[in-house]
Amino acid sequence: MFLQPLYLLGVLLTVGINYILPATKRYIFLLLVSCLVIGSYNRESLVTLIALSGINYWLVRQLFRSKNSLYYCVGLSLNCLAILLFNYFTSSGHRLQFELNEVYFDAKGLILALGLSFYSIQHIAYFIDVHKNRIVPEQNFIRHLFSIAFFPKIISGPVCTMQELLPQTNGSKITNEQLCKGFHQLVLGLVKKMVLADRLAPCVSSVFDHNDAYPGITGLLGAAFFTVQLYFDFSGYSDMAIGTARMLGYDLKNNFNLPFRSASVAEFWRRWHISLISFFTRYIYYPLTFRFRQHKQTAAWFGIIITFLISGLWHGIGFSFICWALCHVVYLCFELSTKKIRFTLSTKISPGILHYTGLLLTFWAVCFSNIFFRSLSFPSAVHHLHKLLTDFMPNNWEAEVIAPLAVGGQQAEYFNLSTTLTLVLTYLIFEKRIEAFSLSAKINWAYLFVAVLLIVLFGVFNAGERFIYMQF
Amino acid sequence: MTDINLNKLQEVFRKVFSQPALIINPGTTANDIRMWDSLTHIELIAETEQQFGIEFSLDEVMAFNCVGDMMDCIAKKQSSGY
Repeated sequence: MFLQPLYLLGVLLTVGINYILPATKRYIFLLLVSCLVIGSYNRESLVTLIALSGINYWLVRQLFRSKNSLYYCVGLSLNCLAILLFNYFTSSGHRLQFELNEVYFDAKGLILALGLSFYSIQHIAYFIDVHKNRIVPEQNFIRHLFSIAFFPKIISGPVCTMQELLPQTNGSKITNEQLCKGFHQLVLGLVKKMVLADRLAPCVSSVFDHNDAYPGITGLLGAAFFTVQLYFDFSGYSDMAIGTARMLGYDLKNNFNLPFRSASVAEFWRRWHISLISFFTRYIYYPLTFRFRQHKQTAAWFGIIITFLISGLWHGIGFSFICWALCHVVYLCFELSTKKIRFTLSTKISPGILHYTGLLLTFWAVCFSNIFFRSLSFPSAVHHLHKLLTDFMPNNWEAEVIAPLAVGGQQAEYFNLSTTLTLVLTYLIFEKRIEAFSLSAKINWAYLFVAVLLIVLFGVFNAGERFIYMQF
Repeated sequence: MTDINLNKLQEVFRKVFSQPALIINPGTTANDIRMWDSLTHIELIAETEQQFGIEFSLDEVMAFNCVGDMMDCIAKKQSSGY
């Protein structure tokens, strides 16, 4: 949806109209546009969003007025159930259809509503904050609905809280700086998605779809390719969402901060999908560990286990996501329990060696866990791991490693792979500078020219690739 | 009182992060101390409560952005005779 030319034209038109409207009324216009965008995806998504927002709006107000915990429990259960049903039907082939006054409704479509698991956690955070008397609920349903439906973030976040978005509906002047920065970031997102993520996608599919045919090292490189693809895909989406919102006068939370420069898994989780991790830290990890804090490190272990198991369930129902979560539980508990040893090591080994060792170990640890994240099924992930342990080295490097990653054994395909790798590595090396360019407060024509040139020359236009995080 | 609290808090930090030479000041944040993250933060809070004989609330803990915030909160609790 984000990559269709019509959508991009629509965004620019929306930015133009929004700019000339009175600041305090903009959110009404943006709500209408959001409903149009969601409704054009499918009508069931729009019905679900309005219905759930209405129910949550009423429940939160009742909770605030009566202080009756029953409303709190019902609200939390409703949103948790919505996420669980969403994940269950995403991973199962069950059909659910019914007819209402000769209008056919796909009930599965109501459950698989666009962005459901993202705005459900926004509602969960809202209930907790009102219950804890941190905020007063919004009195205006239109503003409540807007902060749930705001179209740039509807597909896959960034996860926002009501108190981040609602004050911004009061409106302030949209500056040229916001327009320029937003546009640059939108273009950067397009480059990440079309030039980097979508070029890696066939290489990843080639390895994961036929992992029984290749040795373990190909599987491991495939997992590394997937980790990089996922980063460009999701951070590209996030850049487009944040950039679009900024042009419309809204600041959304940053979602990524150079995650492959993390020297530990704990640091990785401070740099990857920041908005979701902030939610989990604030609403699950801290309350849990705080309650059991007298047990000190044991409380932290307990908090890590529960938080990551919930994170695994939020991503999907099945052993694959549980195993992905367990990998990170093991990594984080290991880091927590070895902090003294690691500090002693840091005083004896050169900081450079320690840092780069940390970078490599963290990257490959994340790649390993992503075997579960990407595999088509749990047995397929187990098979992938079996190959890693029993059949690691290839007999023929070209046929068993390079050709699968290049999606073919011809020279043109090798050239294609080397171009992709050159683009990806160049971006990762100069990432900090490129992102600084994209935050330029004035239109940077050179930056835009290079970005458009990269999209035209190397972009994938016919991939039909969805954003990976749309399934969550 | 501020200096006494800072010295006492410094001992807590040194113990929790296993860094005997660690020096902190009110402006010290998690970015300045290796391994001060959400994983170790809760251990730091528990140890601080134990050493100062006070109890923080969850909202207070989540609002700590630097050592100065912790010191302010400790001083407030001490003055209210917690």
